[in-house]
Amino acid sequence: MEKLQGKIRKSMLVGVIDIGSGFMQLKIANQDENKQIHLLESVTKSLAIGRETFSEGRISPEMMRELSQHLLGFRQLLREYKVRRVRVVATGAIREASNCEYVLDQIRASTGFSVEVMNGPEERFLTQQAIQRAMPGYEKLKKEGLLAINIGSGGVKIVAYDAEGLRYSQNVPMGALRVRQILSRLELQSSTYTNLLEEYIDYHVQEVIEPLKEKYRHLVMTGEEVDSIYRICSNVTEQNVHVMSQNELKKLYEQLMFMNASQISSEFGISFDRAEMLMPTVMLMRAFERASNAKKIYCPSVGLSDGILYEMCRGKDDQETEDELLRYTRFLAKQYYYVEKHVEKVVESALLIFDHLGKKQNLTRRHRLLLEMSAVLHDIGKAVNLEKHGECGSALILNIDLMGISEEEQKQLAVLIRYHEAGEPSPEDKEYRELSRKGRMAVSKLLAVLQLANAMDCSHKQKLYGITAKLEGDCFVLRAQAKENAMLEEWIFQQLSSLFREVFSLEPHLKVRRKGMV
Amino acid sequence: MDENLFKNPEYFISRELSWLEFNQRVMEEAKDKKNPLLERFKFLAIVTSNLDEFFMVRVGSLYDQVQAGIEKKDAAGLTPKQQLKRVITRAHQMMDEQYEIYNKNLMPQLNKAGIQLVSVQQLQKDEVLYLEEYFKQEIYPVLTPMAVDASRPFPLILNRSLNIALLIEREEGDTFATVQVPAVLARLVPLNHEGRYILLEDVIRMHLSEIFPKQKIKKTACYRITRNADMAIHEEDAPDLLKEMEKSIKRRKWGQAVRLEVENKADEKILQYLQQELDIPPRDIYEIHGPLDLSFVSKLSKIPGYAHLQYDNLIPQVPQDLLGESDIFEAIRKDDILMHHPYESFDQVVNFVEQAAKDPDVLAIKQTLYRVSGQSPIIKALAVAAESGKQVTVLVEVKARFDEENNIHWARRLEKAGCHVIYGLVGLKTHCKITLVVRREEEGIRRYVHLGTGNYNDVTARLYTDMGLFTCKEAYGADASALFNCLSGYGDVPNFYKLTMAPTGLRRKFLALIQREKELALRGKKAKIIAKMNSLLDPEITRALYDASCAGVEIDLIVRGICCLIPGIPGVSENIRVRSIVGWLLEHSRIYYFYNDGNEEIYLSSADWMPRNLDRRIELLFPVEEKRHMKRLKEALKLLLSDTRKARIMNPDGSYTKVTGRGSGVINSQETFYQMAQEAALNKENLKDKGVFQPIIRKNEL
Repeated sequence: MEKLQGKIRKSMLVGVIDIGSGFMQLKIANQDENKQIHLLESVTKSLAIGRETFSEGRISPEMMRELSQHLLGFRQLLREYKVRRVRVVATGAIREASNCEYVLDQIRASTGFSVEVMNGPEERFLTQQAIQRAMPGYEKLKKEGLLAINIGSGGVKIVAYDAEGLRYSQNVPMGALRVRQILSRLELQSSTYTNLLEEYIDYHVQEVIEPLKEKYRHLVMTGEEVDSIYRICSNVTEQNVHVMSQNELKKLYEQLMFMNASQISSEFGISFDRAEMLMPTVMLMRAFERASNAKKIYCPSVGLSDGILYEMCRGKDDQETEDELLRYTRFLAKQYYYVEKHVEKVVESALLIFDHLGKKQNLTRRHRLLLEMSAVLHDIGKAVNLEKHGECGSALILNIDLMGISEEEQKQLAVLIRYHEAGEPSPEDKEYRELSRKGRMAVSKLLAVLQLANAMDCSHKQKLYGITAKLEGDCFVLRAQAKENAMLEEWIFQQLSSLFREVFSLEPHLKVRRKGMV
Repeated sequence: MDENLFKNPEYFISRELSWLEFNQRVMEEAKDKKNPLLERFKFLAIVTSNLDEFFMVRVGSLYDQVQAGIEKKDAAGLTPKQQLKRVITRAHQMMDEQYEIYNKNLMPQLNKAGIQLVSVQQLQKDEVLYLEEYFKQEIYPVLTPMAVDASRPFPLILNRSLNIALLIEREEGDTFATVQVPAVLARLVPLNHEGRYILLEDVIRMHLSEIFPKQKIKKTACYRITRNADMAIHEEDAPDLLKEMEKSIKRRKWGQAVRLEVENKADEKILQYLQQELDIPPRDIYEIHGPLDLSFVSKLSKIPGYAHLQYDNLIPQVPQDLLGESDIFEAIRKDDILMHHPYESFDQVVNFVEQAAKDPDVLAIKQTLYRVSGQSPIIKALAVAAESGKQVTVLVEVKARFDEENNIHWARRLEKAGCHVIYGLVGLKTHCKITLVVRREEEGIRRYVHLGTGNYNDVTARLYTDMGLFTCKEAYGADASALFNCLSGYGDVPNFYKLTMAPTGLRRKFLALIQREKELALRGKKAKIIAKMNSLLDPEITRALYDASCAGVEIDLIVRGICCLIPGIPGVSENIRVRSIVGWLLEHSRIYYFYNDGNEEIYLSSADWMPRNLDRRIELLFPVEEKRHMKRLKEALKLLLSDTRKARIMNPDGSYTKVTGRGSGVINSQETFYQMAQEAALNKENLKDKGVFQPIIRKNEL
């Protein structure tokens, strides 16, 4: 028995609850000692929370009670397996509700669950992680050009890759349930309704599709309704991944044209609520299918909750995803006319300083990633307004879809970019104020580093090279060689050293040696 | 298939009439001289209890329909009124025949065997004295005589109780009285001479003057009524199903009488009185030529010393897949386990739950319970598990007919022990039989599943033939979890890997399987379906089978009870054969075989091909996929199809003809299955004795 106990400790049970717009999902997985993840439970409970949020803007007390009721059921299942590590996440329907905070509080009060509210990019990132794990050849397909579409109840998430990496990442609020909810106010006959539905979808999807058109060879689709559609119209699999052909989808579309939700429900044995979402989903699928060059659609049948499970088992620090994120950050910066040489110099200096301080200062690998991203993106505001470029860059970053970073991290980035040239964040800043205490501390430290690194190339001439860093007593000394006079850099460095001194309790020094001078 | 194809009423038999034919087959077993004498009595008793239930539920329901003015025709084209008429005619005929068998075939034989059931006139003097004492001590205290007159209305007569009616002479005119023959006492009263018995009602009749002292009793007659017990509950409106069921059970006791049995030559005045008070038409009065309620004759087999007049006791064997295994979980981990009950012991299933309850590594046990025995060891084990902190979820079907009261009782008990009890689903009876055990093991969590065709009832499991499967394969485990999540309301109806569930997908699945055979046949391939079940009465499935038959699919059906499908109709069902096996054990397993162009598929199920199974119940169909198990099931079906002892072939007119085999060619499938189980156990035993290096020698070489 003792032996068994020890072994069990090596394996790990994790649970995830995903409160989506159209349904809730519980997954329980077991990671064995060989790091293999086995899914033990996968429970889906339909609950159209989005129906209220998308039409009324808020969640009613009745819905809240029902939601808690189902969560208690899930809690019972988690108890059955004695799962201790649980994450509960919510997406669009909760996030967008005006009474979001109250709902979260009520859930905590009645179930004990603390719900994390996820933003679109986080969701997309985790879904991508899940697909990556489910499809063995995913990396190769990405390089060959791939469009990944997730059709949820609340929105469609679009991600595109080519040989260079991530090329596109957007969220379109056009989910199957949302569309239905918007149009449900119009009481129409079914034939007219189908036409209107299609027109409405096409109109909204058009602008998204335009830049994607005919560039991508592979098409991957996920989402609960996508999976139902796969089950209805195909049974082909390639390497354990479901595959649907263009034709199969078309045939289903033509069949559904003449059916109402209750007919669909009895014909395919699905609940009425789900049947209602089938047609909008098929239309959305077809819109994206037509935009791509793909002959077939991969349906790996995974979603957000799988991505979270994976993250819980493996941790967040994944070299590959970080690299991808950084590649995408540079791709973005380029679109805002960044000066590559300057940016890379700032990155170099910033990381040098970070690597000498990081561990001692409670800074993590994740912080290093943020620092590098902020260094790459620090000047994007110049594309808008040179004078207020910090402010503009900060506003841009808050509205850019950065798949793979959390909402808190996005706010941190905004703060870093706003003050990268000078100044200090204060509670007057909305983003700064909304950070956690830890998050505020970290951002101040990162900002101190970024400001100095930026100062070291403030002339944009890359004068300094051969930079080294060393901790000498209470002093943090940066030594560099210079091709020419670096008075400006030294002076600005000196001016910006106060934040560094305050947050690290170290005196920063920049010692520049002119080349050829003794 | 065209919606209107094969809808001709001539292609169907009315379900109630088909049921009566089934009861007829049971009665034939009472006539069959090859059966041991006391077993023949048992069959006669079964005919009675079957008929009781039939009247309470089916005839009751027909009456309700007629009263409600429903004129909807059944598949065979009969209105409820027409069905009722035919059913009653047939029932009269059947009960007459039943008593003929009792009087002419069985009672004389019983006398010869040394057991005498005597009448009052046949009593010896000392026996009369003996009964005098017995009456005073045992019977009198529990009697409640009731007179009926102006101040005392006609009493409520309990459903299925035996009563004696009396006509008492009074000055102001004859009055009526009634006394119930107490159900708490044995019907068969042993006399002080060995081998001699008298019926309880006769003893009471001898002493009526003591019950009604100083009264002049003119006439007496035994009578018995059967009441409409069809329960209609509006679940949707019932906030507490449990309470609602309890109320309804009380109501059942006082439903309208649908049958009055009276001893023959009963006094005309008594008859008229009963008819009027019970509000019952003449056609529902059955004159009985013998003792009323023959269910007592099954007690004859309990008389010690007559084992030679009965079947040998069936001793369930250790299942062949479990021979030499001591730890059930370990055995399941090695390989799936298929069991054929009762030839192979059901104890293993009980054992599975008991072991799980005690095992410290078991985290959760989930089980569906439909009918369980009175002192169910499974219930005890579940309670123990819950009390020791395991998560125990039990789905108790409180709507299991005639078991409602019992089920409510122990459902409460399980709740007290800390089990998570679910009382079925609104509008659906949970009929599937499945158990899930979640266990923490070295490699992580493992799920053990038991799936069966029969109830988790250790008592009926000794008499019903059923199949069961143990497995810990992940797909079955995941499906079992998903099913329970759905039944607990935690999740939506899932997409199963292996299982198919009614009412959501089972009908579609069966139709698709039949359709696939049909298409293969149309492509000129060999196509074959063998299906074994208790009843076949679903019109849609029947029509699909007709359709498949026309396409050339060979179809063999083994249907024990009701069969509304008609085999051998030219141009409709020429390729369909139907047989029914009625014998020693109650055929209960449901096996569905499809040839599938050589990639054979075999399924086991809790469901029959009945609308209620496919549409109004939670049922399961599961595939048996291991080659050796498939082989075993195919051999079992083959054996059932070659039975020449207890099989009847259904004729195109709905009647049945017994298959006759002669000499050594006679095959009794049930006996053969039993022998096979015994031999398997014996062989294993021998192998063990002979040690490891003993060569295996075939029997005929010795």
